[in-house]
Amino acid sequence: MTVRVTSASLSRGVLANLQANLSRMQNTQNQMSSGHRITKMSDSPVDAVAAMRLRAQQASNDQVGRNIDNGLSLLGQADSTFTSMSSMLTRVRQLVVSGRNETNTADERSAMADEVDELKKGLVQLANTTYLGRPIFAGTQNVSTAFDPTTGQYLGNGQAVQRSVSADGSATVGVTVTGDTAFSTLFSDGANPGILDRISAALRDPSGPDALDTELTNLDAASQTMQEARSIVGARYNQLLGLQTSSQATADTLTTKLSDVQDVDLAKTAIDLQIQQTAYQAALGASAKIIQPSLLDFLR
Amino acid sequence: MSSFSSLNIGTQALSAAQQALEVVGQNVANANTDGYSRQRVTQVARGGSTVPAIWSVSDTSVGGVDVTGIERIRDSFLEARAQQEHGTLANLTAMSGTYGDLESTFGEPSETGLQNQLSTFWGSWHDIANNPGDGSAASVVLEQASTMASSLNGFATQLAGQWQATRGDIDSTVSQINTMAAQVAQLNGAIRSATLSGQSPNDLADQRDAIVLSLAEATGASATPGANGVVNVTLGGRPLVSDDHSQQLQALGPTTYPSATGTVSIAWAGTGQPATVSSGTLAGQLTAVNATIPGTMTDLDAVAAQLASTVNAQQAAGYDGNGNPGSPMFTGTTAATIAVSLTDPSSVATSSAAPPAFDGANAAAMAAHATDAAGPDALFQQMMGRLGVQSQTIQQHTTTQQSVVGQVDDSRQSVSGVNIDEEMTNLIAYQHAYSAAAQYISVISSTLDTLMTMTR
Repeated sequence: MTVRVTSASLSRGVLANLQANLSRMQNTQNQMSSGHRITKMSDSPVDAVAAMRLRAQQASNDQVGRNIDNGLSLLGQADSTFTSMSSMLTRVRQLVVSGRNETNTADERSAMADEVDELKKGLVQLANTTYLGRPIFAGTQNVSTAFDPTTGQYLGNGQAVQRSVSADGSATVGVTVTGDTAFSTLFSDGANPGILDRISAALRDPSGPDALDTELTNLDAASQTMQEARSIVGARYNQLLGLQTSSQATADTLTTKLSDVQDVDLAKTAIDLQIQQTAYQAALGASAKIIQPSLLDFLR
Repeated sequence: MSSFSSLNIGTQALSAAQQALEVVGQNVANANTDGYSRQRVTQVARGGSTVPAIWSVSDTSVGGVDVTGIERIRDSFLEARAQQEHGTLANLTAMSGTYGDLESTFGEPSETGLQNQLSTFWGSWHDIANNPGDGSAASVVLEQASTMASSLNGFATQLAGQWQATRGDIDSTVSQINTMAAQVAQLNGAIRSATLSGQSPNDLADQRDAIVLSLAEATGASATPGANGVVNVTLGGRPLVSDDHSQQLQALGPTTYPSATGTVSIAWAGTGQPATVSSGTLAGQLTAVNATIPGTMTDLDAVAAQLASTVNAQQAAGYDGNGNPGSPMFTGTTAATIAVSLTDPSSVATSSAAPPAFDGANAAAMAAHATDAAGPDALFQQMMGRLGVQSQTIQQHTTTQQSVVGQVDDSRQSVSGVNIDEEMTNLIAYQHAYSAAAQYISVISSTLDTLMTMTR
């Protein structure tokens, strides 16, 4: 059957095709100008859901990064506190060694005892170092100081503060060491005086500083314990640094994935647009030629 | 046969050509009129009297030309197909409009949508975990919680608004349908009278068929031709327009959302019997108010309920800043009613260890719910995924249906449309016929002259 072609069906076809061309161009232009391939769910439901998931993952990965940064600064603070404390303990050891010297007079030893007392105050103050208002050596205990400034008693608990370092919260890293493990009996021994107090007492002892021998051993042991705590802090610092690197790598991967899913391929889109423009112009030209003539043009 | 009968033949030929020229003129004038069907003059050769009589005997093969009518060229099969396809397209267009609105309501994927708010909310729990006891971090969590709650409330309001608007559309569609059915019935009456009195009510028929097509678009009704040029319209097997009578429809069911019970339905106004509307705009609107919008609302309610129960359960598992077990953060279990009940930052359950310890473990556990397999995030993503797939499917169907309708319309046009070239050709043909008839009359006239002068 010969299909009758009428001017109405011609113009309908031409209009429909021009409209289709234009709407494709509009789509491409939208993609070019927004930079996104997906602007609504129905553009590509699978990719759009993937984009939503990736954004959520990005957010939690960023948060893990922040947790790690926070842990790093806590551990950094602990480390620098340990550095100061360890030089002070060295000074205490010097005092103990020279105080053990029988040539010192009682007055000199008393002066040394005073210095030990001052050093103890300083050490307690350092052990009470806070980070954002919370003492870093008190574990998870809700207290304002880790050690009682006067009695030197430990007020914290044995639970190290944890930072979660994975998005699902399954992996955590302890970012503090607790005061009772780091400083053993330096400041107090239960309700009894601690090593530093005993050193000070021994220096003041009128019967002579014989007790200092034992305390020197104790002090060395306590210093050793503190160094161990410090090496734990260092190890965890390194662990977090490693996690930070991998978190940054994850962030890069997620950004790339998200970009793959939702961003336009600029070169491809630009070429598509060019092709569509050419097609549109061709369609316009062809339509102008087809619609124009009729028998009227040839009738005299 | 008399000499004067030849003149008569000439007169008939002139008037037939004249009429044909008029029809050409009408066709050209309406070349671009929507719904116009081209017309054609049907001519038959007139023989002589075929009834034998004693004194009057005529030559049976020569009697001139007769115009028997002006025919409207239209293919009723194509028209029926067009009604069906237009109905389907209108249905899909209505549904795709609903999905488009839903998609723009949620505005995902974006950097500001609910997904982002959820991520920010969970993230802010980490900040509390990093710094337990910090009131400002806890305030941020409460702020984020109320932002999410108001987003969910806003979505619920927008969905209810969309439902309400669509319900209004149903009422106006139904009243349009009633008006159109009445118009078709009225035109049927006029066409029948005209046909019975021997006229060609082509323009009335075009006008009526355009309304029937609109009826099909609105309801998916189908039309069947009846006697004397009328068209009967049936909806779900029952007559909507029968000859010059029309039935009225009415919309039943809830008029406000969310309603306690019931779905919106269409019934015959006279009997109250349910009317089957399976296609057309009306069916699309019914799907929106009975399935699409309530379904989306159910999904959204599930997200809200899951959010509230997850957060409240984790709150209850921990201890707040005052050392008390955490109290629920959210009240309400639907998107419309969810609200934040806590106002004091110290009531955020940060610690999982009982006092005097105060750690951030409960806050960290809360933050980990962001990745729950059946958590609010996952539910929302699934919901948006479903919505996207449904919307995409409808859009693809719509695009396909548009080209189907385009083809059907082209086929209709190819039968009923006016082709200017054809009309011009006809114009020339009838012009020549007219000239020839005039020439014939002048020849007969001169033969009569010859006869007259001969007898003088």
